[in-house]
Amino acid sequence: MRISMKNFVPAAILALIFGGVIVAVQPLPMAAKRLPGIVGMIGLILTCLLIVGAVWPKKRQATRAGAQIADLPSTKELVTNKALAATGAWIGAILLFVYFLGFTIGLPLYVLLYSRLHGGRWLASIALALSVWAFVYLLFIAMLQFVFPVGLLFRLVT
Amino acid sequence: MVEALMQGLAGLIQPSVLLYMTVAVVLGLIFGLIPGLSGMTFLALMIPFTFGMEPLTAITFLLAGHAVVHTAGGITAILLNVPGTASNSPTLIDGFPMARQGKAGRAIGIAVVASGVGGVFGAIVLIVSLPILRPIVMAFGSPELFCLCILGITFIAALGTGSMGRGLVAGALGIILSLVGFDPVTASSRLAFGSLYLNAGIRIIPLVLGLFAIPQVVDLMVTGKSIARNGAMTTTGADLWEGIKDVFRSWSLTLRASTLGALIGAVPGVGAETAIWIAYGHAKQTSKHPERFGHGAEEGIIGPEAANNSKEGGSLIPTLAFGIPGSSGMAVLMGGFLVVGLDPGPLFIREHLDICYAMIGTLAISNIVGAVLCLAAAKHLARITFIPSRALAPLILVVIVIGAYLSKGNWLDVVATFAIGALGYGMARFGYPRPPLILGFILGGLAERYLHLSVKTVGTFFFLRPISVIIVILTILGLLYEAARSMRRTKERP
Repeated sequence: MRISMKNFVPAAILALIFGGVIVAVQPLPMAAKRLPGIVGMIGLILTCLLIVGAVWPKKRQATRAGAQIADLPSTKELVTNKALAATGAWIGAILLFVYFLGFTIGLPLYVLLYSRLHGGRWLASIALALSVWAFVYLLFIAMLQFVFPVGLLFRLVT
Repeated sequence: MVEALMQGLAGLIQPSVLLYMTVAVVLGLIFGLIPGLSGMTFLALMIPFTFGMEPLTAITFLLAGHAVVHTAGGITAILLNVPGTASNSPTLIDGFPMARQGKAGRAIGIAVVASGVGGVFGAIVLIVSLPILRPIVMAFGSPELFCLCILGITFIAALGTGSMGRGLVAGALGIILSLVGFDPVTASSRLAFGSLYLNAGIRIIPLVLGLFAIPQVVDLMVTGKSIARNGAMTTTGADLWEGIKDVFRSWSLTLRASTLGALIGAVPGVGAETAIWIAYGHAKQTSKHPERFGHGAEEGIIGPEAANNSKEGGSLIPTLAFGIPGSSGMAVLMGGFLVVGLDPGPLFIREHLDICYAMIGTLAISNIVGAVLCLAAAKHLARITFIPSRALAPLILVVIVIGAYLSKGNWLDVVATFAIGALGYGMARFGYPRPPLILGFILGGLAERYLHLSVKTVGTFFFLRPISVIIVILTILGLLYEAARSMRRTKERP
């Protein structure tokens, strides 16, 4: 018995989610728990079947599952966990930039840093950051009159 | 009637009306290109500018911009894997792989022309159906709407790429996500775990951006390459022409998808996204090469894009005829009607038939103008796919952050987008198709609402009403057809 961990782990996580949904809706009135309960049950049965398929894979099934994995090249190519973690950190960083500095300053600054630290020239990076600032300020703030929240740092200062 | 038609068209060809229409089309296209700015946002922001305008000019201005928003939304879906509006989500499934293969110009040609044809077709449906539509729309109550939702949900089976089991699991997860928040009947908080944000329910824009756009950014950042990995750097007129020809080669699908869009759009309460996904599912189900879907199938763009614009004509039907908005956008448009002193409803068609025909003309003309403008810009826009990752990835992130925030002006929507992004990347990595999740999400909440209403108003056997029976039979036939096709494919596979 060779368990395919790539198929087993996500199916097991999903089974836990569907199981959790069934348990979480139990205290609710019947009208509120009917549909989540039914769908949770169907999801649980389906994921159990996927788990069975991962534990006892048929030869043909294994090939088919492998063939359909990934519609993004990065998931097909050999991606190291380190590269993935660095990307995750960069993506998470934009939230911090916007939260602390606001949209008008945080977004251009993020673009400038990302571009520069990934090999972009100073001039190109600054031009890119300025175009982001112009996009945010001119289109949304000046023309469409949207109000973006001020960054936490500026709220603390003022 | 002919006199009213002539009056309506004469009103449309006034220079000032044409000028406002052109300005509205350009603005509508810009709104469509930016995720988070929908047709509804366009209407809400532009209504104040119509104060003091002639009624015909004002309505033409609002409708022209609203009609073309989805045309431009397909372009960002194709080029960046970021749908301009939620209704453009199915376009990215096949449009983006085409861009990756260096066929962005062709894909844009398909999307824009299918949108244009769909929009004109929707206008024709509107002309034809104005006198006869009342009994049809009135025949759709909660039981029929519930059955329509179930018909849509069965397309989940067709939307998966590869394992049907994984597609169904993704669909079930989508339905569960749509049920997060207050239950519509008992007002009990469901699966929100005490969070005020989750009590309001998960919104479609963060879901779509998170599932499709964030994994795309991860992909760009990790690989460090541009979106297009091969193909010509410049898009030529020949590429666009090839896309235009694709639409007319698949004329039958274009007309079928447009009909689906117009018909489903005419039913208030089903939601625009339902029509688009059903059109995508239909395109895949009826294709001779369903295995190409998800990898750059031309029909995968034609189906949803044609339905996307034709549904606008459909949703005008109940809006004009009964004063019942056919979609959320139409509800805001009705606000515009009231601002200029027009009151949509049964009397409106009798008293202002000329304006009705002018609106139909506006739909047709604005769709054609929008398509021409997009085709003209396509050559330059397609170059985006060759921009290096270090410049493009942060720019897409900026668009995602702004799009997620603009959808409701809530910072937590941005956070939710990134959290859903992790789910989207996980699904892509482990081979779970994402489109069924979106379809389950769109239809799950609607199905629950109409199920409650049907049981309360008609009783347990609500599905035995004539139209419901027809839809149930169509659903069963669709499932049997899909199962038979799946079995045939399994047998043919070596």
